[in-house]
Amino acid sequence: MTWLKRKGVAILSTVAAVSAATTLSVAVASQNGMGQSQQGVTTGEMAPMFTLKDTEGKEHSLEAVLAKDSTKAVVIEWFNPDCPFVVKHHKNHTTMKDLAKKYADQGIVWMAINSGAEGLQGAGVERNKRAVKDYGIAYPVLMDMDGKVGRQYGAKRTPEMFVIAKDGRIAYHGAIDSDRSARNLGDTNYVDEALTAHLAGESIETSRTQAYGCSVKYRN
Amino acid sequence: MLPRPLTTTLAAALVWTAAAPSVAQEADEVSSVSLIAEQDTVRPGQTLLLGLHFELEDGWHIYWDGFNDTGFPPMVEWSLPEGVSVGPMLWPAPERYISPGNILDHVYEGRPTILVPITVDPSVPAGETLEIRGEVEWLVCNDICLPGFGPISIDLQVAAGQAGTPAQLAPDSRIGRAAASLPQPVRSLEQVEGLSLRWSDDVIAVQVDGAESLAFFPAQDSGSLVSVIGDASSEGETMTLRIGDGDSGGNLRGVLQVERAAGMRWYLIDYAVDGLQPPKQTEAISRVRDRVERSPS
Repeated sequence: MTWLKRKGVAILSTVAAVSAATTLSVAVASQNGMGQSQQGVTTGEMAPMFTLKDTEGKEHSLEAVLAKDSTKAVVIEWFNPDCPFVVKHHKNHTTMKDLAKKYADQGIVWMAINSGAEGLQGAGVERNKRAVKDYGIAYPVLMDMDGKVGRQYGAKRTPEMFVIAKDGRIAYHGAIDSDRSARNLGDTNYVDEALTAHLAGESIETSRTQAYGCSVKYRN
Repeated sequence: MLPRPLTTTLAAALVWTAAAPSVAQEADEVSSVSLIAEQDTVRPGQTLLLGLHFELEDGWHIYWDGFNDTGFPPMVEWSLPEGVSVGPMLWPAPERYISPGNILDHVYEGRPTILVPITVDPSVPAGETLEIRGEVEWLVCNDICLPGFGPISIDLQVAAGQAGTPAQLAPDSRIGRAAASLPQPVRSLEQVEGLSLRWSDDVIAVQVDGAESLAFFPAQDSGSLVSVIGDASSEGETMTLRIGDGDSGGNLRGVLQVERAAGMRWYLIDYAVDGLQPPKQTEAISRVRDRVERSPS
């Protein structure tokens, strides 16, 4: 910059402007990179599309699911079978199973995603196959072992919930319910409220909350 | 029915063993909690410090009561005798803890003590034994998290006489150490040597002359920042916090950590566009901090 200023040549200063802009955008990008992956996407933004395999090796495409006539919305639940907060909602209580069932015939498609890296807690196909069986999960648990989809969403916790509307926009993002402990259920189930409102064509009163739980077990 | 081939069963068993955690751990194997008191007698009308004292195995942490991406701070459900009331818990300064995936928490490691001021009503008669009981729920994590639950209790004898000036707290006692590490409430810039704060449209610039590093730990009710993980820790004398837009344009509330050559200090701040406000619990925290015995200078 200093060098270019000293030269003071028009064409060079254009280059300087461009390169400065590039440097700046790189700086912003790397900063955003942090902000991005920290923040990911949230309510009102478009959900990143993905195709992931479930524990049986079957592929599921978010785009294809949303495109189906019968689909009214998609619920994504970040999952790790060995996280105490997931255990709370799958074993101590049957929150997820019950909600998925409640809305299954109303066009709500439920999916779980495990973004834990192989070798870390609750990760791997075999562990999750067992969890599907033990917890009696009737929806697909998708394997995202490289954490790519999790990072795109900025999912940081298990469970962390996203409700995605037919048009791909995120209608709810945050906690499953209002009790942040590892054993008690909250008085308010935000996903239940969001789905009820969404299906009735009403606006969702609480569309963004802070999720609680364990960290998603990403590899560095 | 044909017998299942042995190899299949073995293979299944091996897979299961490989996938299962080697040792099923419980929270009480890596952490313990107890209720301690600055002293075991109390006078009618006195406010006494109790401590929720944790002992954690190396590498494990519990959570601060402020901004965290995961976990939750220890919670207590108290069962108190008549005439005893418990004030809000007072939290020592935590440490930043970053997990893969840009996950940020503020935690305690080692042997943290969270302070609990209790007040005994002047009407409580001398000679009585006060049985303080509680149920604690906490989360202890390293790479994985374990939920802990357990009872805590302590008995206090009510002594005769008036509640006088509170005794000094020894800085090497567990309660004294916790009291000394409570962030100092800041009411005006002059209280912190070299501190300046500047609030422009969308950033707050924090400067502390002579600082080697700065960090900010947002309180639960702080106005939101664009990136706590990216902005709120900085080498040198300055730190630039971008303010998040949207619903929570509130005050910047939390703990400012200042590292100087002389060591680390923590300040509790509540900063609005028009300047510093007295932080919540300023009185309670100051009272406790003032009781820590100062080493003669």
